[in-house]
Amino acid sequence: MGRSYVIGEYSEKYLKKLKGEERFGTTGILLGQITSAKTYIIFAARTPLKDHAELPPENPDEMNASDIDWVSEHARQIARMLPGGILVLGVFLIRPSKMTKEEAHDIFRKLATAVEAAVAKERLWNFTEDETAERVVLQVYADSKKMKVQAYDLHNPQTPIKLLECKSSSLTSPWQIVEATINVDVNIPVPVAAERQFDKDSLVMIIDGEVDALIEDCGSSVVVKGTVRCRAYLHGSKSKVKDAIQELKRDVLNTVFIRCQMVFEEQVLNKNVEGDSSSLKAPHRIFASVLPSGVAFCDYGFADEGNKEQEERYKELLDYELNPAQLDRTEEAMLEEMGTEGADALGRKEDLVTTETGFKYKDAQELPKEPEEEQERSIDEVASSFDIAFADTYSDASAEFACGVAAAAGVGVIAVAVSVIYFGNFIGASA
Amino acid sequence: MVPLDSQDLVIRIRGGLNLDGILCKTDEKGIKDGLSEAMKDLIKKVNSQSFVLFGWESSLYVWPKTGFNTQPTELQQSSSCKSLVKLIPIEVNDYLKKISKKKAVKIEPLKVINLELLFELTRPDVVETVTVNNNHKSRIHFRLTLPVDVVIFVNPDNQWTKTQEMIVEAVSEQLLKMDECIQKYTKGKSVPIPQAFHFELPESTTLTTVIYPAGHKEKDLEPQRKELHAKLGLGDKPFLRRPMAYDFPNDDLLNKYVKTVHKYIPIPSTDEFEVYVVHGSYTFHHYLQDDINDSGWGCAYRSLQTIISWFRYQGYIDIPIPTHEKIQKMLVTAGDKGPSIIGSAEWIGSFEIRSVLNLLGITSKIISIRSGSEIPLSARELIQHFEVQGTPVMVGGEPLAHTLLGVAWNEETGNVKFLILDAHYSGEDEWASVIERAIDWKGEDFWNLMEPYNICLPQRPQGI
Repeated sequence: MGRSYVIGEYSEKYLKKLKGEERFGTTGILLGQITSAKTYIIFAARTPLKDHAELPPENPDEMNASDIDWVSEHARQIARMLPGGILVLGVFLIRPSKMTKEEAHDIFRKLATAVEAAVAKERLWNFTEDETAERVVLQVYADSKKMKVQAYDLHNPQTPIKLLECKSSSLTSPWQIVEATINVDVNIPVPVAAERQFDKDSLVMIIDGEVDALIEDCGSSVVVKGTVRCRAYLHGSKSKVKDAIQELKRDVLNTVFIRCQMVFEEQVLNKNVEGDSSSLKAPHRIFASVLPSGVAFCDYGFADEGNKEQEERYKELLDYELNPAQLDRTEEAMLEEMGTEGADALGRKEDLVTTETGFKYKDAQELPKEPEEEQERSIDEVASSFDIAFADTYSDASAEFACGVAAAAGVGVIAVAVSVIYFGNFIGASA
Repeated sequence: MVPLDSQDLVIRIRGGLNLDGILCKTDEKGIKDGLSEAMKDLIKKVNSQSFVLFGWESSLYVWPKTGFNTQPTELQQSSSCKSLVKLIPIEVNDYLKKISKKKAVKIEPLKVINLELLFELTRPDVVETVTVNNNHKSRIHFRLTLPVDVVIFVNPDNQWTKTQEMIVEAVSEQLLKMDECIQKYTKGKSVPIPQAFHFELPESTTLTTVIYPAGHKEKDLEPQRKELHAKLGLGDKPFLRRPMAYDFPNDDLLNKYVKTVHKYIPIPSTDEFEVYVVHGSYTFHHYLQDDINDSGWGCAYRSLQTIISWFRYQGYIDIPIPTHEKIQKMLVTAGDKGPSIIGSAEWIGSFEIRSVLNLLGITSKIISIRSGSEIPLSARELIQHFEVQGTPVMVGGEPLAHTLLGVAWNEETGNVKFLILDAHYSGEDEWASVIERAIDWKGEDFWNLMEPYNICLPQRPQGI
C-alpha cells in the first residue's frame, strides 16, 4: 500500500532501555499519529506490572485472559490522556529469546484486538472510510539489535501480519498545535421508565417539517455545562486545515465524554446518595508537554489536588518521570480568572492570546499556503449548531479563524448522552 | 408596495436558532414561562460577542458586537453597505432588466444580500467549569429550532457599523415576536413553531413581517389577521394570508411561470382615468404552455388556470393548477359535460368556468352582454368588481376568451380602457417577451362589436 512508518527517538531509546534492562516479556502500548501517508510512533509505555511484581513473568507465551484485560485496561486509561491527533497505535513486546514465532503471533493477535476494542469502546466518533485501519505491532528481539515492526488490519484481524520498513527519525521538531476554548451546554432528558440499558435512539431528534416543538416527559435530567480547552497536534508542514478541524472536533468529544465518565465513575464508586438534584464538578484538564516536539499528554484533576497525583499517574501509565514544572494548568487558570467575568476578560488575558480570533494558534510554522483539497462541511446531527461551509481557498488569516470557528461547531448531544447511557444504571437506581 | 425601481439593498438574515432546556413544571403555564425564559437567554446570546453573521457563498464572517470580520481590508468600519455587494453574491432577478424600457415602467431589480446566523462556540460568553447536574425534579424536556428570517431594507450608502447594530436589533425583535406567538398559541403541551412571513403592504415601501404558528390552517389564523388589519389600517381586502408572502428574486427565478405581470406596465394617466386593477398575485397561463398544444381552443382553459392561480396565491384553495384534462374531468363531475369531453379539444366558456370554480368552493357572477359594443356600459359593474372582489375576470366571446385584470374609466368622456392578459400568447414564459406581447391596456375597440359576450366574475370568499 505504500504506507511508511516512522519511529521517533524517544520511543526507540525507551524500547532499547527496556531491552537493556532485560525486561523480557514486557508488553506495552505505542502512541502516535496516523496521517494519510505515514504513521508516526512518538511514544511507548510499558504495561504497569500487576500486583507490584518486580519483573514480568518468565513465560509470557501464555497470556491468559486476565493479562490481556490488564493490557487493555492500560490502553483504555492511556487513551484518556491523549490530545487530539494522537492515538493508541498498537502494542509492543520485548520478546524473550525462547519464544516461538507462533507464540508471538498469537499473543500479538490477542493483544492487538483487545487493545483496539478497549479504546474504541470509549470513542464516540468513528474513523472515516479513507482513514487507514492498520495498527502496529512491534517486537524488540532479545538477541539482536533488530526491532521488528508489523502491521495488522483492524477490519481483518485474522489476516497475516505484514512486515514493515520502519524508519527512525528524531521527530523532535515541533508539531503544529491547534487549540480552542469551547462551551458545552447539553441537556439530556432521562425517560421516566429508565431501563437498565436504553439506546441512543431513545433520544428523539427533530425531523425536518415538524410543526410542533419537541416536548417530552422525562423522569429526571442531566445537564452538562461548562467550558473546555481542547487541543490537537499535527505533524509536519503538510497537514491540512481540514485534518486540524477533524482532530479538534474529535478532541472536544473525547474530553467532554471522559470528564462525564469520570464524574459518573466516582459517583458509582462512592455510592453517593443524592437529593432532588446534585451538581457535580467535573475535573479540569491539565496538559504536560512531554516530548521535545512539544506534543503534550493530559490528565484530569482538581486544583486543590496538587501535583502529586499527576506525577504518580504519569509514572504508572506512561512510565514517565514528570516534572511539575511541565504541567500546564491553563484551563484552570482561565476558569478561575474568567469565571463569570465573561468574555471581556478573554481579551485582556495575555497568555491566552485569544485576541479577536477566539482561539489560540501558537506555532512557529505556518499553515500551508496550498488550497484545501475539498470543501469542509461540518454537519451536526443534533439540534446544536449550524452548517458551516468553507470556501475552497482562503487567505492564511482567515484560515486561522476558519479553524477556530469550525472546530466549534460540533459538540454533539450524543457525546454526553452516550456516557449517560453507560451509567443509566446509576441514574435509574437513584431516580 | 416595494417600489419596482427601489435603490435599496435588502439584507435578509436567516438561520435556525435552538431553544433547548429542561423544566420542572408540566402545566401549560410552566411550559410557556420556561420557553419565555429560554427565549430571553437566546436574545442575550444574540446581543453578545459570540453572535456571528456569515455571507452566503462567500468567505465573509462578521461579528456585529465587536465589529470584527474576516475581510477587514474590504469591509472596514467606515465602509458603507455597498461594500457588501463586492463580498457576497447578491440575489437578483436579472431577467427583469431585459424588459423593454419602452413598454415597461422603470425597473431596478431588487438586490438581496443573504446572511446566515451563527454562534461562535469558541468565544464563550460565560466561562465556567464543567459541571454535571443531575436533576430529579425535571419533568419536561423541550427542544425547538426557531426558523429566524429577518429582512431589513438599507440604503447602500448607509454606514456598515450602524447596519450591524440594526441587524442585531431586528433579530432580537423577531425573537420577541416569536415568543409572543408561542405564548399565544401554546395549548397544553403542544407548542407550535413560530414562522416568519414577509408581506408587501400598500402604504409601505418595505416589507412587513408577521409571525404565524406552524401547523395552523389559514382560517384559524383569521382572528390574528383581523387584529393586524385593524392595527395597520388595511381595510377588508386580504394582505396577510400566508400564501401571499413576498417572492424574493430567487423565488421568482425558480417559478416556471411568470407572476403578476401587469404591475410592470404603466397604468393609464390618473389625470384622466380612475384605475381599478386586480388585487394580489397570479401566474400567467397561455397557449402551448407546459408542452400542451391547445392553440386555437384552449384560451378559456388558460384563463381559468390564471384565475385558479389567483385563488391559490391568496390562499383560498390549495390544489395544484389543473391541466386541461383535469378541468374536463371536473366538468364531468359537476354534471356540466358528458365524459366525451375528456381528452378532447372542446371549447369551454364562462358557464363552464363558473362550474369548475363552484366545485372548488368559489362562487361567480355572470354578466351576459348582447354585443361587444355594450361592454363599456358594464364599466360600473366591472369597477365595482375590482374594487370589492379584486379577482381576475374571464370575458368569454365566441370564439375568443380573454382574461381581464382591470379597467380604467374616464368619468368626463366616458372612455373605458381594459387591462387584458392575453391567453393566446404562445411564446416563452419569460419576462421580457410576456410583457412585450401578452399584457396591455386596450381600448373599447378591442371587443368584437357584433358578438355577444359572457363575463365571469369570480367572487372572493368572505373574510381576510
